[in-house]
Amino acid sequence: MIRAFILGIMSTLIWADDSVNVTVDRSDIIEGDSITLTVTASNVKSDPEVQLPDMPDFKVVSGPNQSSSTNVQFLNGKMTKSSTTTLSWSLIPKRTGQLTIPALKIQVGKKSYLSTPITISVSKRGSSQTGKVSQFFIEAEVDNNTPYRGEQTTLTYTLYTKVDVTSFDEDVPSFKGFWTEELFAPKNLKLREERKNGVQYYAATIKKIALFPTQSGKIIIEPMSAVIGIREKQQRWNDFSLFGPPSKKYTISTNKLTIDVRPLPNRRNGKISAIVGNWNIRSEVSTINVKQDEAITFKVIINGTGNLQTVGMSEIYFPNEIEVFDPEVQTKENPLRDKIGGEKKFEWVLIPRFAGDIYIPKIELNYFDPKQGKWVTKSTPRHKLKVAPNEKAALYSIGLSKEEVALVGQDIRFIDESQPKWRDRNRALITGTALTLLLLSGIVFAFPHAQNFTRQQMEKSSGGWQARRALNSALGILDSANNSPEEIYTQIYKAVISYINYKNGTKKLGYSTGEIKEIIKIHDRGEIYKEMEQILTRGEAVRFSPISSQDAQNDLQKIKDLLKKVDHVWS
Amino acid sequence: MSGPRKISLLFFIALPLFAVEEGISQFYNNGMDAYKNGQYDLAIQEFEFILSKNWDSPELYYNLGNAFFRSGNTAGAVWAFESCLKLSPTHSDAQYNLKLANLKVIDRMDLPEPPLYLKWYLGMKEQFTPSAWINITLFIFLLFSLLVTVNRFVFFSIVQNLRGVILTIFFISLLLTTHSIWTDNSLNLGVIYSQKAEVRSEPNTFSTRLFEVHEGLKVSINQLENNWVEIELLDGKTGWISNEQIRLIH
Repeated sequence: MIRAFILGIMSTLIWADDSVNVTVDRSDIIEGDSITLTVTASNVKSDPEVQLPDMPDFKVVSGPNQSSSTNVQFLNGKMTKSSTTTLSWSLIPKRTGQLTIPALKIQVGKKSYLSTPITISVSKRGSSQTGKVSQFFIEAEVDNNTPYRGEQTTLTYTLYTKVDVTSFDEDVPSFKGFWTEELFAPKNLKLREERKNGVQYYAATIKKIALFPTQSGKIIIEPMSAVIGIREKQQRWNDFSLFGPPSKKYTISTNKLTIDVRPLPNRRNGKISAIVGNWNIRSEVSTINVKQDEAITFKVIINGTGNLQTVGMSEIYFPNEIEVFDPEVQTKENPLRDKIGGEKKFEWVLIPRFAGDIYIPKIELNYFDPKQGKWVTKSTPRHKLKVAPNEKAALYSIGLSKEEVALVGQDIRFIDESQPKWRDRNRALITGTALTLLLLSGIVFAFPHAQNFTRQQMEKSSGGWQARRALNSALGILDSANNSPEEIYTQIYKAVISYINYKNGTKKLGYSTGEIKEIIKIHDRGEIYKEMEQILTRGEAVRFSPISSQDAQNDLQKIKDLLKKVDHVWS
Repeated sequence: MSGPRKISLLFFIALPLFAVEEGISQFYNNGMDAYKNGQYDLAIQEFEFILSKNWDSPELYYNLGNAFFRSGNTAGAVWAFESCLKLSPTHSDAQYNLKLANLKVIDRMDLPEPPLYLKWYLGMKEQFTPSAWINITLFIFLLFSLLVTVNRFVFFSIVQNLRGVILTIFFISLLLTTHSIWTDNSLNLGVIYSQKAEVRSEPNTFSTRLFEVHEGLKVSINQLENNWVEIELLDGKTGWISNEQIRLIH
């Protein structure tokens, strides 16, 4: 049955009483077989610590498994004590050829050890060079190595054995780049006789998985590893067990597979989809003679082989005259099959809201047929619904106002045949007309104001001229006086009145002395008005109390000076 | 410059304008002929060409709306009639045909009836375009200015009273003009142009799908970002759609 495995390929690190050994159970194996890497530390005081180096050619399927044993021996009356600690790993090679387990660094207490690298020869299964025949192995196979993206390829794991298998526990890899569905996974292995590589085996299908590549290009399916229990032959009389002969567990793995996924070709009309396989589409209407506002059902059924999950409806444009409710989708997968497939049913409830002939459009299904290697379009027929009017149609119920209800069944008004007045779409909001109106308004609105302003300006300029004339006029009056004191004071009074009238633009005939004083006071806060008041008061009194001619002449001269001073400050 | 020379110069300045109008009218007439012969798609093509050259008129939009309606393009019809009414709010045929086109719109929404005074005010405002309102207001202002001027020279009490009335009308007109311009500038409108549009919470395809709108629905446009448009429905719902799914009413 099983060979005597321990081959003693070891690198011993010299140690008098205590020692550390690194061994493998086999150095010459067939692909898919596992080896056990063991580190044995004898008579050491503490547990060895091992850090596995990076091993690109091997996959660690289990470990480290640790065990310890202690022996006490009495020899010639002397007690000898020995202990052994073992660490083991189960490794599976990732490829064939001469593979190397790199040197291991082992730390025991304060001591450290470095093993020598170990070479393992891994030969291809069934290669004539080796002439070796595996007692048991598992193989992974796909029925199509070059599927299209989205096309099913079936992966089958088969166990081949020449020995009794007591147990089987597989570890399925993750299928990166695939959508998967398990097709077959028996609870009990059913063995059949099969010839493989010229050798007769018992074979059993372990698992069948449908793979749908979700990307194009090369995709690797990692090996599946499994722990297999093999019944051992009873070699010694004392190998007796109540539960039959003992079995030993081995870890094995399948070969690695590479799938070359072809991309879906481009389609000229651009109608592509993710649906791949072989599909049929059909549609059903519950009735084609329907009354307005009554519900009917419309079904679209798609069946065939391929990934049912990718089957969906592209957007359907139902006519506006029909109220459409969200579809109910039912999926039924085909049981007991090797090719995944099934049926997907879409069911809509439709309510025609208007009477007359209404058409449900044809519905297209676009998919890629890998067998034909081309895109296929299948479609349902167009259904004509004859919708009878509902006299009691509750038009308001679909949101029509009274006014709109009156419009139902009416037609649009005819086109306007008059020649259009073309308008530049980029035209500004304010037009030439607006600007003209604005300008005219401005002119008209401003006209009275402008006129008023002009008049004021003119009046202002006229007043200024008069004011400038005031002094000259007053002085002229004063110069015309003769030597009579009465005449002098009369002329003084007239001159002052004339001066004030010119200055104020007034034409008053007389002012009282008090009024004159107040007017002069406004323009001069000094002593002028007082002096002027005195002169004017003397003028009033000249009729009752005679005044000398000389004094009158002095007042005449004084009033001239005062008027000049007043004129200087009266702007 | 002598008189005949002046006239010939004006003629050469105006000639390109006449030539453009001549060419546009040719396309328009072709479109009208196509419509009358039942070639609605061809009519649409001719009318759209004129729009692409940045010329329009209420008549063009109205007839384009009819061609869209006849060819079964509800969204196009709604868009064209709305555009016609924007230029000529009192176009009764466009108002009527728009009502008929709106009957085919799935997502029709109506605001509740406004109070009578508001209805009267809005009706008044929508009688004219903003441009026309500007002209009306300026005309009233001109009238008022004339009365003010006359009143300065002639002291008739009737002129005095009329001045008060015109001033009141002017302020009402000014209010309507301001409102009309404000509405025109701030409220951008559009019509859903694809048969069904998914409205999303953000301007990208991986954001949450909020609701669906269907062709022909008139919506307000809040903002534009890259190739996305934020729309607002009458009921206040907002969201983003691709700009290919909407046509703006200019």
